[in-house]
Amino acid sequence: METERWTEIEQLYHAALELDESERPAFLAKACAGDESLRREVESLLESDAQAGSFIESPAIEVAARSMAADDRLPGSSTSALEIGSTVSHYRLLTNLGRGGMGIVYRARDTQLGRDTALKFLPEEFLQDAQKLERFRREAWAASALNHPNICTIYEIGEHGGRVFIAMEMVEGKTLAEKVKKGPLPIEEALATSRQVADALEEAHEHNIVHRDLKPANVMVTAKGRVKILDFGLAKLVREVEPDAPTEESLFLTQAGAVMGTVPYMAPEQLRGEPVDARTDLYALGELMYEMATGRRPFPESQTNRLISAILTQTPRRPSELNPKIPEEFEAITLKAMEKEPAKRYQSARELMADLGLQDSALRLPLSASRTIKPAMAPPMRKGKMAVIGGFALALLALLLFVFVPAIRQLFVGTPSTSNALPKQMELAVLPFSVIGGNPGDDAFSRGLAEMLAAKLAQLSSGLSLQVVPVRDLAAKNVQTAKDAQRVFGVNLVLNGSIQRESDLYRISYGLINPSSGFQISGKADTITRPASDPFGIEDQVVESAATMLGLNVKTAEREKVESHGTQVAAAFRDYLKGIGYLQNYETTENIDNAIDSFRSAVKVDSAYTLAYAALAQAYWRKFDTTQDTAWMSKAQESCSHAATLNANLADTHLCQGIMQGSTGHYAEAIEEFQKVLDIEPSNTFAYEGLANAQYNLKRLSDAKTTYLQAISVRPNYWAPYNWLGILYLRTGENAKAAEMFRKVIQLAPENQQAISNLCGADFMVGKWIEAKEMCKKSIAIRASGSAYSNLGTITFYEGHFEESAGYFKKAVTINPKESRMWGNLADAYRWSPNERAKAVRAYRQATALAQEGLRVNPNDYSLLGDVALYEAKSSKIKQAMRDLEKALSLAPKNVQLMYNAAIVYLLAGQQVKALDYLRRARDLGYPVESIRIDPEWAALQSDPAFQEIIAGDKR
Amino acid sequence: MRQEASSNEVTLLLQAWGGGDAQALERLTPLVYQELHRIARGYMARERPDHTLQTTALINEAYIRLIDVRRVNWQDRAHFYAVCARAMRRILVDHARSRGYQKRGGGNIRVQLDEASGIAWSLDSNLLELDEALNRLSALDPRKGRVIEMRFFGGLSVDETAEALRISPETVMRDWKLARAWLYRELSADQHNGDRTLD
Repeated sequence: METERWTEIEQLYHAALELDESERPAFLAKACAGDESLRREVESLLESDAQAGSFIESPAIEVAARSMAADDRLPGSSTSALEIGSTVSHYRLLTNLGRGGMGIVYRARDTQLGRDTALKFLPEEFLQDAQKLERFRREAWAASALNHPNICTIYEIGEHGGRVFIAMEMVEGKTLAEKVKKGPLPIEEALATSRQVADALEEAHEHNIVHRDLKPANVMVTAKGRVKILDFGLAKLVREVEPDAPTEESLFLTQAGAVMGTVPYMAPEQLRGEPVDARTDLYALGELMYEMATGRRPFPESQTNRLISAILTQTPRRPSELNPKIPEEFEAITLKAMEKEPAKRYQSARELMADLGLQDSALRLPLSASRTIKPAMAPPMRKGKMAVIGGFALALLALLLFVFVPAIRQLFVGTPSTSNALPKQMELAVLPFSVIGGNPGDDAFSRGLAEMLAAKLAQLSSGLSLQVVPVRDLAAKNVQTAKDAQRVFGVNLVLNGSIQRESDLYRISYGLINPSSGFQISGKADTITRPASDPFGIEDQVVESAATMLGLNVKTAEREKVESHGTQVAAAFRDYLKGIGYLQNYETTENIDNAIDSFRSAVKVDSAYTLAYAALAQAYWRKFDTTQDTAWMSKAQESCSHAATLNANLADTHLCQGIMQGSTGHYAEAIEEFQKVLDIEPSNTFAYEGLANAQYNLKRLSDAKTTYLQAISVRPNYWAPYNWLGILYLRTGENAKAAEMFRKVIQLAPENQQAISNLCGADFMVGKWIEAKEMCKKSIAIRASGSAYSNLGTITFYEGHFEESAGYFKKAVTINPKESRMWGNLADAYRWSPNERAKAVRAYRQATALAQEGLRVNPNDYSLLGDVALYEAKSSKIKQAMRDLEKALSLAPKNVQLMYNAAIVYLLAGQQVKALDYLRRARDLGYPVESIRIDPEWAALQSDPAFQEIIAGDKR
Repeated sequence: MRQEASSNEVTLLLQAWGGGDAQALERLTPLVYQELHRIARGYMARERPDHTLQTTALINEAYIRLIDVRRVNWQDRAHFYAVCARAMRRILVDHARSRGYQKRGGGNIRVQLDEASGIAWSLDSNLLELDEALNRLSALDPRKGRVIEMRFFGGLSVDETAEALRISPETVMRDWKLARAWLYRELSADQHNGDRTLD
């Protein structure tokens, strides 16, 4: 810059400073005499001066010391544990994004999901008070239930080494603070941003969550204009760490004279320490709108006491005085939102948005109107404003003020590309309703309700235009958001909602979401309020309104069917729903026990409650499945039989009997039962699975394949049958076909961990080891599972890295301690690791014991028996091994895996000729030569001509 | 007494550095750090009601300890002030830089998120940015650059600054007022946090 220019700026600046703020614009306009850049330069310096507060008023050494103190107070900063690159839980820290009162924020890589997240570590103050910490968790969880495209999602609240952290969506973009710094935003942008913020607030307020600290720096805007609000519901928690009442002292002393970021956006009631509610956020939204429209804060005072007094008593300057381009309506909405008295403001975000919606339609109208409306009908222009109308965009803005506005209210605002139509072929996931407040029992109730809702909607759809993912499938995959449901199950529609208990009332809100956009589908939302004592009414009403939303034509007969609850007793039904809810997450013993308790108490209240007996049987069966304690199996059978005596013609009864028969080796009976289920409910996926399993066990392989293909034809967009068929192909050695099926699953549901793990297995079988390992690791990254670890272990085992593979198997058995095969694999890996051999014997013993447990339930399981023989042989118990092998072979004389097991058993028994004989037979039955070649058991025979001949020759 | 010896030492080191002894700054650095830590500890005891007074006292004390004008010949005073301010700037900016590197594996990290209770800015990185902005200011208007350096980094009063620069206190104030606004605008152009300030 030229010195002359700079001197000019300096003089004008000081001259303007002498004047009252209101006199400055006129002064500058005159003094600059049309030199716009000069005027802008001086104005921006004046504005900076107004905003600079106490900027650099304290000496640098104080700034540096304060920064050190802040650092040292915050977790992680004073230790080396949180170095960049280090791992916290399953997050790898990438960069430090900043820090503040809420702690340090890192950009981190979620190694399980392979995505970047923002990881926020809370200050130590949080950790010192258990009660506050607990409250924080609760609030943060409530906030994390918010599922809205304009709210930064909280993924997880975790703890690591005594430090609490929040993992949340990584938002790339600029904060609104950054944007308004550069001056007013174009009105369209201000509108779009306001609408998104209002939409987010509405969602949060519906869930009774108030932000409390909405401000430009908490609003991120992505490059595409999508708004994301940060730190929802967390502000209060921070305040609670500070002294209670937000008096000037507590707010500012802790800041040691700094103008605190929050204050300029606080509503009067907040400053007075009065209770805040949704309207407090609306005030803040008004401030945001003001700032977007004018590029400056409504109260620019920099000294806190003056600022507070201004917020409490002064009326802000009209935005249009600062920016003449602001439409009148926008100004009116802004100022109404900023009323000092909450009662005079908008009472809800919905109200505010309705007015903004009017703005929106007004903004759009001229575009179409210009073609259809004759000039004579064009709205009259207000005098005086005509002069400033320049280009086309400006003309639009001006029109906006005077155009007649039709009463179209846009309540749900989507991006223009978002279609509000439902997909033709609907694949729906019903997410468990989030519980606001309430107790743990409510949570199970809400889950149960969601499951019943899903089941009944599936029933109503008759398998035509709508398919519903069973809620327990969602739970098994830990699906919590619409996006998750899309990724894991490939759904194109999600129903979610919340349930809130207000003394004796349940208030349930729910709506349909398009998982691709994350937007709620316009007009597809509802709220019902019902007494807690009327669970029937709750369910019926939710089912009915959801069915209407989905456009299902419910006939009376069907309605009667879905409105039959199997009991007349409210308490029994409530317990039943709870039990169903617990059973969704049957992976923890606690949930299974709770489910058992709930169903027991349901049948205690209503001893004729067939469905509850059938469900109780399933809960017992789950208990058996996890404990392998056969006593539970007897109880399951007992309860199931009782259900059958009460009502033999229910799908649930047949399903339960099918499961019982199938898991005790009565496959023919099981087939019958499952077929009966399918007669009643043709799209019951459990029944297809059970049926095909039983057929497979009867070696009716082509029947089993047909069953799966049927399941696929009934629900072509449902991933599970493809997965089952893939597994069947794997078992029959059709590995390439298997891989194809798993790929199909992944196509439908890209993050389906099970299918990815299975693809790992299939790829391995077709010799694509590198791809296979990648798949296994990918699967583990999504969710650590025993099978994926076991697969990975198997591959590394065959690569000859025995110790590494032992590590993987160890993880597998930690996750699935009851899986005999994983123990067997672990034992093998130990046996081949020079330093671990001693551990092999114990692991084989464990594998044998578990397999024998299984045999006690189903003595005909030849494959388990073959395993046992192998474990015994490998632990030098040759005699027992021979005996069990023979038994297995008598059950399935031509089973290829048994042939191979036999070969190994004879090899270990020292009977080489017989071993090679069985090996040849196994090969001839299709045992892959490649698998023989890589099995280290044959190491000693590598140069034996007979062995060479077997592994060289093809199947004859 | 230790304290006396210390401030004496500082003065000597400052004079040596001002006289061209580059190594003197290195020996000076730990002494400044010591003061920094002392003040920081004062902040950490922030729950005490009198902490504001206390930390202000700590800062004054620190400057007295670091920059003891009584030991300087009055003819040298103006020069000594300038040297002090420059030394403090170098040491504090280096300090901020080293902390930034140490924790972030790199210097140039922008603050992305605001926080609810607003302890505000990443002060370290802003000290660096301020340093750079100050270089730009000095290129535009060297005297205003020096005013900022003396007052903000050197912790000098308006009168001391005026004495050092041989201008009137009123001119110092005017320079300060414009330079501060200019710097604030510079920093907020790339720092979005307009509602937060360095204090």
